[in-house]
Amino acid sequence: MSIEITAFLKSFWGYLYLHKCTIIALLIIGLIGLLSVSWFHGDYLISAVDFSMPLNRLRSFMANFYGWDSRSLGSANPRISALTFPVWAYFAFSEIIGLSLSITEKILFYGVFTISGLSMYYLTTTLISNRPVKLKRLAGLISGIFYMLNPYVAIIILPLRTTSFMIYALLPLILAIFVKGLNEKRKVKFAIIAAFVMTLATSVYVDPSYLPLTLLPLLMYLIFYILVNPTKTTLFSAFKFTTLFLITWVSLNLYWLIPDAYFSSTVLANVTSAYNSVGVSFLSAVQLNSAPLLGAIRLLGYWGLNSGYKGDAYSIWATAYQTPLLIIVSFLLPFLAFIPLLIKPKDKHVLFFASFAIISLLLINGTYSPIGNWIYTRIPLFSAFFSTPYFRFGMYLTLAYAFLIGYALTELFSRITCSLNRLRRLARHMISGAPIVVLLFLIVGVYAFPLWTGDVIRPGTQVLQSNRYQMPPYYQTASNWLGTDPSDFNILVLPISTLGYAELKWANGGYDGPYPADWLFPKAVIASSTVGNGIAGIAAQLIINNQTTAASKILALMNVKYVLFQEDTNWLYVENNTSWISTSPEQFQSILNSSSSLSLEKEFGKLDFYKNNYWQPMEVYSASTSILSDGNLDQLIQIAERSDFTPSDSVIVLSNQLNAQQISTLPMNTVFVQNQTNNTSITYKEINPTQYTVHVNSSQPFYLVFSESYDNGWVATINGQQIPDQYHFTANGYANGWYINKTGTYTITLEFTPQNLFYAGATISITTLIICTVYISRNKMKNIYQKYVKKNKVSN
Amino acid sequence: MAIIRNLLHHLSTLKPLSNIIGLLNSNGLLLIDDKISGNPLQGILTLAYPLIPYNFKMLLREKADHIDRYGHLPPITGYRPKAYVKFITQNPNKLTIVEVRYHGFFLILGALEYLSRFFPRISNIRIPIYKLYSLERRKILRWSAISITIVVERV
Repeated sequence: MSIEITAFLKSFWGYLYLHKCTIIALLIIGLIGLLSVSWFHGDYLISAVDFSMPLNRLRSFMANFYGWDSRSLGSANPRISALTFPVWAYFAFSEIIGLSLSITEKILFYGVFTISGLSMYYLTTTLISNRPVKLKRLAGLISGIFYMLNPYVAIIILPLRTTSFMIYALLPLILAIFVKGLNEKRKVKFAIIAAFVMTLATSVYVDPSYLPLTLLPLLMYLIFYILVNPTKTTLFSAFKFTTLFLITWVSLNLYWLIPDAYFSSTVLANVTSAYNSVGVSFLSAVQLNSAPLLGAIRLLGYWGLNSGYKGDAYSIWATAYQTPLLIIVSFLLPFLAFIPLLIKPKDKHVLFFASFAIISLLLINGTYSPIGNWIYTRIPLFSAFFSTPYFRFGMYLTLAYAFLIGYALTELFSRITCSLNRLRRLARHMISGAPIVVLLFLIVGVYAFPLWTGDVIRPGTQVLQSNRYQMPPYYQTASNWLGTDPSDFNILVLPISTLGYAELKWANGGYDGPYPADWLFPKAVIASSTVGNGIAGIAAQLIINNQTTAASKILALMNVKYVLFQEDTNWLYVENNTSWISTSPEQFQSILNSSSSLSLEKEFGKLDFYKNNYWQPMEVYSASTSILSDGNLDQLIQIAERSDFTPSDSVIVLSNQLNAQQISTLPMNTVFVQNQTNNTSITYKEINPTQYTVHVNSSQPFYLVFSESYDNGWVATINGQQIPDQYHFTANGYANGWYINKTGTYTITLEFTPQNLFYAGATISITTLIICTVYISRNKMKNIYQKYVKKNKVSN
Repeated sequence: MAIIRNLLHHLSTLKPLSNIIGLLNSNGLLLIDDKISGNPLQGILTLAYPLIPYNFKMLLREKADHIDRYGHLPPITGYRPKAYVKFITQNPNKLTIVEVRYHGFFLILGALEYLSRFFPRISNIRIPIYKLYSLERRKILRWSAISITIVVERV
């Protein structure tokens, strides 16, 4: 036994010795990765503009399997399926094994940050083929470190979108495997591996614009590869590999690609409307996010660097980049990156990455240059997909720089070493290594200083909240209290923002990001004023105008039982902000406390829950009468202002939300009618967010209202027979309403039919996964089978 | 008598100094105690200051109130000792330089003094302060001073 152990240790040691350069490089990258843990400052969590870890990880993971997002007033959200793998699956797994939120986020940050370095290391060592192994490893290490530590990561990746860090981290690896696959004979195997690796970045495709962004460098390399090797065989084999890779990847990802494609026009319209709601067009966003050339070549030039809000800078460290030291260091980047083009212009990979860097610069430069301006204005959807040029294409430039700087410094090291032939080996290496260490220190140590100091995660200032946060315990207490209420209802948050963000002031900092208790509270939270065709905003404005009775009736139509007044709001931030519907805290409290339709039910720390006295359980309800009002949402306010209007008795229908056929078909009252006897009783059950069953006992035709946002994907069926489309209309200004012309006892099924697309796609994806796994591991399976057969023969 | 302390290095010009000189009576004394440029360590520290963590800047702010709430230092123009001397000698009012002294040898004394605000025990450490001060008087080591005291008398 001991001999076996000794032999194993010997072979293990031999392996380590043989690969010592690789192991040292990987260890250095792994150690630098630990820097990410220091950004948390203890047990804080990190939030950002578009990213915040769901506080109920398992619940949010399960919700990703449904194309209908039941939060708020519900919306078709096919994009969230893409989040499922790998990030949300990791979150769910971490909750199952009992990891705390803080540890889970630390591991995510460490993983993504380290993978970015490792994948860049792999790309560089793969592409630099004509150099000694040690130099290849050195180039890889420098590239990897630079790719981890640079201003682009400090400006965009970390503070803004952690999910987009996935693609930043994996893009070099995807490119490396793609390049390897083009040169390999085993095309199928490499195509599958490349597709698997790209699948690891799937969570980022929650923003579909990342898909062309991932494929563009591969396409560019493919064109370059064909140009460099212009033979028929190369062309055929490259085409074969690329097709196999794409087919495999598409098949693996159909579970989110199909619903995404189906809803693409709706999603685009939603994004456009979100931009419009804050007064921005795609082209103005491009103009804002384009970087001047002099800034872009130094990986700077992002508008947010020199900008702020109410006197507080968005990036508190950005002014340092205007100091002489950093200005000098900043020019080292383009200098080192383009040196290889001068000293090794015939190296094909230098040529490729230099061209890649120039194209990236052109794209980042955006509307500043005539060509960029032409691209963004003339190519259809280019500005819609890539409205943030620095953000999107800065990734390409950093990748190209990382390779070229790694190459340049290694070349410098190699040349100095060669010129010091007469010195001893150690002295030679020390002398030739010194300038490399100094340059590397300047470009990754000094130039990327916010990553070292931890300021990359914004500390809180007077107006702007920190990106580190610790949720006060009263949120959990409030969540537990809400969980004791069995009824289905919604909560409206005050003050309310246009896009569903929260700006909160807590002890030890605060919070800035998507509303944090979205997944924590067991009931749906309405945190965006655009929800329900903007009715949430209308109700909030009515409260501020002290028209609380009308507001409460409208809120009742939205199934809102509680108005949650957030006393912990960062009032300095919210005050006079056009993206918020708000007033002073004193004004809010005075209005809410003096209202007869809203009464204070419970206080938890700085959370005040006011009960809507007009609320009745209205998630799914029946109404015997309808009120057809000629006009738009303003009519809703007028009806709500009537003292004789009771929300749960009738359904309001607005003429501008109906088509001509519906107006002629649906039996509607054009005068205000109330208090008619409702001879219908219903009970309902939620099977899942995309399916409900409603048990009906009715002696007359009635209106069925499902208080989630209207979508023509919702279909009502009675015993498998679909209720005609003309009977499906927008109720109460936002909800799904059906006219049910049937009496008796029966069951209605409400179903969000696009969910079937997810099921169909998921079936193909799972089948592809099984086939690919079997194909890749077929040799191993053969070996296992042969061993098993041999064993059986011996025993027989 | 007028005393100007740690002010002039925040001004972009020395012209306000002449206004103060103008206020002096005959035989009136002016004591200028201010930062000077030339110490390379100080230069490096000034360059490196923006790179230190924000939280540390805020910690410094508690002791040094000229750091603003964003952690920025006010603009600094370190004048060379010669610039002070030249300004005084070229002043239309007749002035005599009574004494010139240099301080903050190699930043050590200044740093110790500053650190002792945060860590009072440092001041208990026995340091041959007077020996260090005496080194400042040597002309060859003057570049290492960070501040200057000039006593001027109006004739």
